[in-house]
Amino acid sequence: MTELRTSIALHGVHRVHGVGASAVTALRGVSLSCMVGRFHAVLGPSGSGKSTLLHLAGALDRPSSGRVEIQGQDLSTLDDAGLSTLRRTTIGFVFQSFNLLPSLSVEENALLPLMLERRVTTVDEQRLSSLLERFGLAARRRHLPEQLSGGERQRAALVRALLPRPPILLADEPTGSLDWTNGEGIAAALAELAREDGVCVVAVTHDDRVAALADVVIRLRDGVVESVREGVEA
Amino acid sequence: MSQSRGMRCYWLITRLLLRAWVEHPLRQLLTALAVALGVALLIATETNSRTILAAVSDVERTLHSAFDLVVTRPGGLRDSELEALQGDEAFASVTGSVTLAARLPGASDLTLIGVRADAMTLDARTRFRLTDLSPKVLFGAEAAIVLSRVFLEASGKRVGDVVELDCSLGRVPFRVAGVLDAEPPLDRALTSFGFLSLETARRITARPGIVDRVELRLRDGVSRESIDQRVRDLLGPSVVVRDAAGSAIESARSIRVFRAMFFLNGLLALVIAAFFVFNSISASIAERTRDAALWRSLGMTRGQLLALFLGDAGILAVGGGFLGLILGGVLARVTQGLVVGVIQNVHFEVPALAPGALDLDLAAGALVLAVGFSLLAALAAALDLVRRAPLDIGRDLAVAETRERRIRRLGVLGFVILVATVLLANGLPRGHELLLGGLFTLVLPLALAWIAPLCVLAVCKIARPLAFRSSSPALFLAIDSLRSRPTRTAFTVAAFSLALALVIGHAATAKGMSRSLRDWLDGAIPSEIVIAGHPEFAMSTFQFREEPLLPLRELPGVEHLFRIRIHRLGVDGLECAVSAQDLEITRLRSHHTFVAGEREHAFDEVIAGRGVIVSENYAWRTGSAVGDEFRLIGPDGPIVLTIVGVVLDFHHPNGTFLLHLPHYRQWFRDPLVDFVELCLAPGATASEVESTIERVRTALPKEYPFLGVFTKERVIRSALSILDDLEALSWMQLVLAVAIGAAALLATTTLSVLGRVREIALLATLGMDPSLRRRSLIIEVLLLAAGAAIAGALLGNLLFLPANLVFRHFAGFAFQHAIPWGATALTLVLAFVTALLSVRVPLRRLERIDLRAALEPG
Repeated sequence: MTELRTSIALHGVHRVHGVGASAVTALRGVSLSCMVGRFHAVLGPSGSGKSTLLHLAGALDRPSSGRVEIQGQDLSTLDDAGLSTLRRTTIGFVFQSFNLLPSLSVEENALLPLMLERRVTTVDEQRLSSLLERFGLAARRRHLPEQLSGGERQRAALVRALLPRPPILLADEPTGSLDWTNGEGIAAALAELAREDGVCVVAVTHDDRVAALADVVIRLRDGVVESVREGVEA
Repeated sequence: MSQSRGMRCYWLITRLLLRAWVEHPLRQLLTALAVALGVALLIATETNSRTILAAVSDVERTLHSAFDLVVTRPGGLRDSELEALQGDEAFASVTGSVTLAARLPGASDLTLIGVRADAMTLDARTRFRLTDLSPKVLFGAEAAIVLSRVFLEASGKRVGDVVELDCSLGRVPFRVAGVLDAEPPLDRALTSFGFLSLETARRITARPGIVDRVELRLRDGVSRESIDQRVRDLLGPSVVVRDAAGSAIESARSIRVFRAMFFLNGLLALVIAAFFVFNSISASIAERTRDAALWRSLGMTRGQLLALFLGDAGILAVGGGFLGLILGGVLARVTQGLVVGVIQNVHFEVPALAPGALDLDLAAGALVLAVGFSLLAALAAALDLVRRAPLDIGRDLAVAETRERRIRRLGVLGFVILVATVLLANGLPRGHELLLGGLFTLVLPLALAWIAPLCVLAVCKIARPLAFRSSSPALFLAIDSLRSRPTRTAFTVAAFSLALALVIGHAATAKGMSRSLRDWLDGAIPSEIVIAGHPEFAMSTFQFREEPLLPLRELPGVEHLFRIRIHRLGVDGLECAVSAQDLEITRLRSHHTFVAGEREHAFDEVIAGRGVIVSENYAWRTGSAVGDEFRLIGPDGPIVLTIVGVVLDFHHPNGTFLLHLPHYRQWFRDPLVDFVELCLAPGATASEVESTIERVRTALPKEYPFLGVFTKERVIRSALSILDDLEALSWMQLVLAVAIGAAALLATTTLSVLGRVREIALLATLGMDPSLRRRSLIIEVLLLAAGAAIAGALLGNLLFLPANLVFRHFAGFAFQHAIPWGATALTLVLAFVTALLSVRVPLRRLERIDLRAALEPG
């Protein structure tokens, strides 16, 4: 068994939304680590803090107390621009509602993160073609999102997330808006990414099929980690 | 119970209608302000036009209310003819008068009317009255004068005092014999009028036994139809018989040119406001799409949903409209002097005015227009949403292809309208200028509104892939944002560009007029030095006798002495200007632009007394051409000439014709001149001109203290100064355009941020850093400003065409087009400054976007 490296680490993280009487505690002293090359599924009922966990892990939010480290970098030491750079270079996102820009084609949506980094090279374009081929979107590269089916949209979002070769992929209910077949396909693709490409995948989900394919299943309840269970052997 | 439910229902609707104001007060306020500006402009310009028109008509009516007809003849009528009319039983009264110009040194000009002294006391029928009349002064040996109360108060004079006035005889002392007064506001209108005895007027004008005009009052029961012939039987065929109201009609026609232009400006401002309303309602729809879906699911009908958005627009229009009425009243007062200045400079003296009052019908009309335009804009914005089934609301059903096809169709239609405008404006049949000019002024913005989305799509289609390939994410995303909402982008560009176009259009008109006038004057004035009857202005308002100036011919360096008399004469019932001059010198030294006829032959014929050269606008008005007969009626009968040339000339709106001065004097017995000019030897330097001017000033006769000596350049500058007020209006328009542009850009970019919260958050999630987000928004607003600036510059120059048509109709002139580079550059710079200032608010909104919103399910 190879030694696992930590990709995302949360140390005693608290997150409180709002102030005074309307304050809501979303996370209460959560500490956990997500490893390189493993597929993590985060489960829990509504209001358990899953989304807040994902926001913190994705450098979209800052903890009220505690520390978040991504690839060994303490997020509290980074300003807005630094967080943007970190997201651009290190993290890929996949959302329940796909979040493709409606006015951009599949190809443009996919190249957007690289474009933000001003580095669209021929190699990137070749990789784009290969990813589109791999996810069955080669014939749809110039289509607008509104011209795609739900499954195609999620696969396009996945292509966009993977194109910059991020070491971390965060997915928020990636199968939530998909039918059975498409949902299964996406879950399998996420698992494959972790195992074959060495990506640290964290997926917040209600979907048992996703949990069944995960290497690690993290259960949250009322803002605390209820359990961390090793799933499929790496 | 049911009443309470009904109340709750109304309360709910009211709350829904007011929600936009509570949630987006700035946006609503800016939109209402745009409507207010449109209404204010309409109210201000129309109030001023009405006030001026009413005042001019009032004065004309008052001056002419004592008689029915006016009889004139070029060269005047003799006393014996006056007596012949007095002996005819058809007339209840016959009064001869002589009109002359005078000036209180250092003060304003006066129009003096010389009538028999006893006739002065017979004006009880008129609305003005004579008070403090002093018969001793009136019938005394000295020159007596009756002046208006307002004029006397301003100059600190009273009955019995002596006032010295400059007139064609020189500086003449008059004793004030009475006061001319009327009820306000007519009293102010009478400021520039005065009465003096007929004999004194004749002495000043050096025309003994002659009257300029005869005013006739018909005896009761006498038919108007037969009178013209009866007068001709008595006085010969050369007399012109006009209704007394005729001159009021003439004045009103001149004012209407400005009224039409100002009114169209106001309408354009309302069209701009409608674009604002469209954008505001579009934003409201974008924010309330989910609500709309819910309301429709709960049973709200399409009509009720539409009524909600129309209600929103109605509140904006009514609120803005009432604010506009107040602003318009203030603006009318502030700009009254400016508008009067324009009309006065270009046409005639406007009497002093009281501040214009807001007419109820005008206020109601402006409000109806504002509400109507706003409702139409709201309808256009809301129609797509309202048509959808409840479940389809919120889904993006507007497939890009269909939307683009519609935009393309409307764009092509807009282009056709534009091309038709240009073609028709240039090849227009006579007589339809006003209709087409007005129509085009209104249609052009509509065409622009249709073309602009197509241009946005076309430009973005080219620029977008280029920006993508150049890996400039800020530029790419800015272009994409503009392209994704082509109608909103286009309407913003249209609103801002129209506002800029008004400025550039004004400037183009002013520059076109200025260039045309400069070219004409430069070519037509043959001399280097001009002596005119005014110490400060080189205007042809003051005539004098040339004899005392003839020795100037002997001054060293003077090659020729050139004389010119400009006078109004009737030609086939059309009042025109005759420009009688020493044509041998004109031929040698002037460069008139001949539109028709051969120059040398034309001068030969006119100098020989067989031909006449007419102005282009006379030929256009009367449809005459070279070879046509031209009939003048002189004191001794008809003078038949042949038109031998047509030249560009901007002296008189009805037309001007050139005669040789010796023939004119022989035919019309008029010994006066308006200008005496000195032509120096060819190649005279500026210092030679200056030293000659000094010598002329020393040599001027002492009895003519009012004469002024000017260089040719100063004469041209003085003539062109009439356009100063028109240019001042351009700067006012510029202020308005900047306000409109700032509001349009601010609203649009704020909407752009609001409408793309999710996209912006997503881009941030994908790693777009804050500075890149800010840069993208700044580029977006700069692109909007650039689009507006380019469209505004084009449209502004296009607006010159309909403006020229309106001018052609009313003023008779067609000016050449000139691009106003200075105004265009300044306008463009201000467009960008406006853009950068207006982007501050949306930038603050951008900072406040919660990035986590991107992760929320849609």
